[in-house]
Amino acid sequence: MTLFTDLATFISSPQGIVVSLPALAVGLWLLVKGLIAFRDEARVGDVATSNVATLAAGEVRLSGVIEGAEMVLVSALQSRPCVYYRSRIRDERGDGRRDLLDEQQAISFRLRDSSGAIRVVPRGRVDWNVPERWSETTDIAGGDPPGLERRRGASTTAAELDREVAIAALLTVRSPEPISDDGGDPGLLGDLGLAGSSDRGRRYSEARLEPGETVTIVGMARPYRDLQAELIAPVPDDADLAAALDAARASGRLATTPEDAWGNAAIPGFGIGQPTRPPELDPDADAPRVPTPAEAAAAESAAEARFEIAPDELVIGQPDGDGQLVVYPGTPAEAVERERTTLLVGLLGAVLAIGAGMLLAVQLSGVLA
Amino acid sequence: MTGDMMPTAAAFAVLVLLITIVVMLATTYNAVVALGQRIDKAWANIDVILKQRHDELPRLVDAVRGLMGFERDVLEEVTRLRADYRRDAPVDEQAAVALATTIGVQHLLAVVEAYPDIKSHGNVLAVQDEIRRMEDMLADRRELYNDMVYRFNTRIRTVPAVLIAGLFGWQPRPFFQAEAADRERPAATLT
Repeated sequence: MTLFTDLATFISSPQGIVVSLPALAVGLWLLVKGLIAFRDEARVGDVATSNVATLAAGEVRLSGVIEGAEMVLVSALQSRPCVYYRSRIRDERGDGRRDLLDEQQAISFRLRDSSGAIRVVPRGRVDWNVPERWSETTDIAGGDPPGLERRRGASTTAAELDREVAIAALLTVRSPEPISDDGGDPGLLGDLGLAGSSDRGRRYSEARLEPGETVTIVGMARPYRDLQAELIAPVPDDADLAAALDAARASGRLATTPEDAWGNAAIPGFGIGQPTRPPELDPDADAPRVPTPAEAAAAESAAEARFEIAPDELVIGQPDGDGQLVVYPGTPAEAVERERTTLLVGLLGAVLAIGAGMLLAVQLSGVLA
Repeated sequence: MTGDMMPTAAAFAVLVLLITIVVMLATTYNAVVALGQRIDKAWANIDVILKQRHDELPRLVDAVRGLMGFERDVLEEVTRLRADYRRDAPVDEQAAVALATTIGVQHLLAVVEAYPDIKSHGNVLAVQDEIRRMEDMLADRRELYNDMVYRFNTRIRTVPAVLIAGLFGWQPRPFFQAEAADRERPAATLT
């Protein structure tokens, strides 16, 4: 009882401002978040779910399972195949927090419901309401957090696992990871040029959407031709850019041909299947089989057909500056429930803000008196 | 609390409440207007299919007329229902005609199924598939429309929209559904 009386005396005293000011700020912040959630709840809850098979162009809500289209992304911190990720490394030491890495990527994918599948093109304004899937901090010695498996190769990979490629990847011998001067692994931060700073007090987090997950999408269904012009934008005819590239080639800073820059890696198919022409290899190495011209032509046309999208095919996407695509994990009911919970917390925030504001007035009256 | 701070504290509390209420009402107004627009769009999408079906039905009737002349009452029923279609009629009237036409068409297709010679006729098969595709699409879009109407009608009858529904004259929208009498199968006999 004495403790309660002392607390009440402290809070109502001018020194109690240290409690009421943060409470006021938190209350107002929760209120703003709640009001935004109220708007978002209407945005996702007021649209009925369409079936992919009988979809009409215009604003639609769809719910289904994610399928990789031609390619999927590889997440930066956990190397998981996904269609969207946001990876962060944050330095949380001391008062100032700063992001050492804040990377976000998305790629086209298919959404399948019980009636069919449709391509989703996440371009322009996209609101990804994806919670963090993994969040860990470095241990007391500054070592990597559990679950960290940073990406070491390309940021995309084939959506369907190719047996030959998988076998080749398993049999590939990789050079050991470079070791930093202090004996530790410079890791991703080394790749980012941040090696050398202490690893302690870092928080690693990753939010992502993986194939096989259920999502709810609110966006515009439109024929692919409406997006085609923006997705396949012509290279701008920029004289300054061309002059800068020529100067870089002349000075030797930029290779003149892909072969000069990448060697065998410039040969289509090299390392991911059959190369289209013989690569330059060590004489002792096993040379891969080079397909005949007919086989190469057939493989090329098959690859082009795989990436071909009919202009009349309906896709979900927003041309730049036209509406917003909203993506929620889970079913529509789960998405609405999440927004309602945030609204409820926001209304409690309003109560907190009002209480803290009135308390602040009491404390300020004490100061002024 | 001293007397001079009391009005300030009260004003702050009122301000927070007022902002909350105004933002919620404005959001609700926008949401209801957007819902109304979505219903109009859902109806327009149904209208497109009804028009397409209206244009396609003569092809079906012509395709089977010569092959099943003795089922004249079935064909005449479909023709009569098609003639009842009015694009400018109220939603409930259009719904009654559309659903009766659907039942009539299903009946006709069922009769066609009973005659393997007619069913296997290439022209009949193509029209039959097209009509079936439209019927499936119509069923899906009708469901979507009714879902939107349900959301609209529920919203304008619940807090906070109900507080401003009278001010803006929001009225419940009609569902795309037929009265019980309209759902009865058209009178046609299989001979």
